[in-house]
Amino acid sequence: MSPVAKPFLGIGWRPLISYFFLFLGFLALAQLYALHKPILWEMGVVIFISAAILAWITYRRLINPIEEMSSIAQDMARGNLEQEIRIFAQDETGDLARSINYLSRELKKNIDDVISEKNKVQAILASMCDGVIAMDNWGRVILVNPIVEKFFGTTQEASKGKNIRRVIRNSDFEKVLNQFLETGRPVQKQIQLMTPEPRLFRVQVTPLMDTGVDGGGMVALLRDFTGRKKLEEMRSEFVANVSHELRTPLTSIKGFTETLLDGALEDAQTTKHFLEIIYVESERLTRLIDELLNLSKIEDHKVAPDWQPVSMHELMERTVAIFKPRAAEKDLNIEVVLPEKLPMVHGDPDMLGQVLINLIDNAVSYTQNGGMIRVSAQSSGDKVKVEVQDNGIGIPEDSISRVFERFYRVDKARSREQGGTGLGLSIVKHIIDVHHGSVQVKSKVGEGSTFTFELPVNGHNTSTVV
Amino acid sequence: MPRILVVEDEKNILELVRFNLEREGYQVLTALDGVRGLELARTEAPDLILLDVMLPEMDGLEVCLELRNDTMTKSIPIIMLSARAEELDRMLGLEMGADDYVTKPFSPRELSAKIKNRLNENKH
Repeated sequence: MSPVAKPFLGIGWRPLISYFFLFLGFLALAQLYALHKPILWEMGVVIFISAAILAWITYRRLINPIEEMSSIAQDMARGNLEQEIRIFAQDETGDLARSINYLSRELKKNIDDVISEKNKVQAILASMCDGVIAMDNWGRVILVNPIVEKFFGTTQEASKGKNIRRVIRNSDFEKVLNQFLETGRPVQKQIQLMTPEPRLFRVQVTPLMDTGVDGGGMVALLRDFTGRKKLEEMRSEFVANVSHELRTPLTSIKGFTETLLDGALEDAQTTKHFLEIIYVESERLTRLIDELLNLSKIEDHKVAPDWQPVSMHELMERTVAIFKPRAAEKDLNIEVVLPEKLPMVHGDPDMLGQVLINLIDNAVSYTQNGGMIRVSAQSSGDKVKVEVQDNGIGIPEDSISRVFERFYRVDKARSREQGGTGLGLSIVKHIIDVHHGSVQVKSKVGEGSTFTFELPVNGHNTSTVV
Repeated sequence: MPRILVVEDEKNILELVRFNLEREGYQVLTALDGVRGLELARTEAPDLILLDVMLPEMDGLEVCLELRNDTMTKSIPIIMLSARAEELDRMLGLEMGADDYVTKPFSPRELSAKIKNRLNENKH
């Protein structure tokens, strides 16, 4: 609300009262003149003194404050809105001063709002992970955000007003801009830009409305697709691999079934043999699907691990027991070596059991008859280290770095014979990663392999050998 | 009797193909990897070659190119086998020299028909 008092009859009460007093004064003078008939010089003295007093009052109450207000108003125009006019008179000048103060406060509030709005927009632009370039219709830069500054080694100050074609020198980028300028419609394209290393961007150019600049302009949004492209490639390669892995057992199932239906059923022995193949291949297909689902669950974090203190001691004994019959068939000696005291680890018992199963299964599969497998654990610092060691066929040096890749097989034929899906070790790697642990492999062809994984200890609980 | 060389590393699929071809009366030669397959193609001069793409040692693509670059094996019809259809398109598109392809899983009857066609075409 304005601090100025409401006028009375459209004029205000003060001028009315002043007029009333003046009227009384003149009336008194007229009465005095009629009574005393004063001489001229006496009149002159009285008028001079009255005029001097009136002038002094006018100067104090009107001219001085107006001069002060004028100087402060000019100061405000230069941007100094922090000061106030300190005139508290209860008259028109006081009202004017209050009005100017009110104006300045409102102006300051509005400017603060605009600045905070601008800062907000700037903060949003700065925290965007996409590059933003605003330009006028001639391609002169109005604004670039920090991502653009980072990628193209420029700054807002350096590029402002410059033609964008001189900031980002690339013919494809120029083509996108020209296409937008010709059609006036939004353009979207994937192009490679040097930053200075080549990066793939999805560039989107849209019209810039209402800039205050004549003719508007355009906004280019640059999204870095380099990482995503790589991910997409990995994903499509994975899909192709899965398709291949699924089609292979299906080929046998479909082919042998058709062969049997086509008349091979007459020979009982052949029939049985083919049915066995169909059975084995369907088992393989089932296992493959199970493991794929397992892997995808761990990868997508769809299943939260059931965190609890896990006794590796118990888990190892239990897992090794599962493999005893198969080891006996191959005349393999499985040995479990455990220290007296082993701290509990922080983990999901089912997942860690899967790790042990996959590692011991590999050791059993890739160790010749009569070989030796040693499963051991030890505590080292705030970690528990588990080792699965065999003296089997080993892994060639050039394959060691790839064994944790999905579908990578050192020897495809042998892996098939063992019923492997090519996913076992990649599941191991994923589970250990989820547990914030690490897994390593050491191997030499003909001498055997050692898989080692480390897991963080769970608090201070310990499990002891019973 | 036409002789057919089958190069395939999946033992079960190899057995499937062999059984069906032998039943049709063909004589079948087999190889489990690319190098052995190329060797047999050169020494045995089969009438037709069934070649898988994903092979150990040397993949089907390389074997196909080698066979086409050799005057001895240049005219032997080649039918590619693969679980990756897009790969086979590439083989024919790039004119690696394959004559036809079959995607896994395939029907043995369809495969036999394709073999018959190729052999007849080659006769004329």
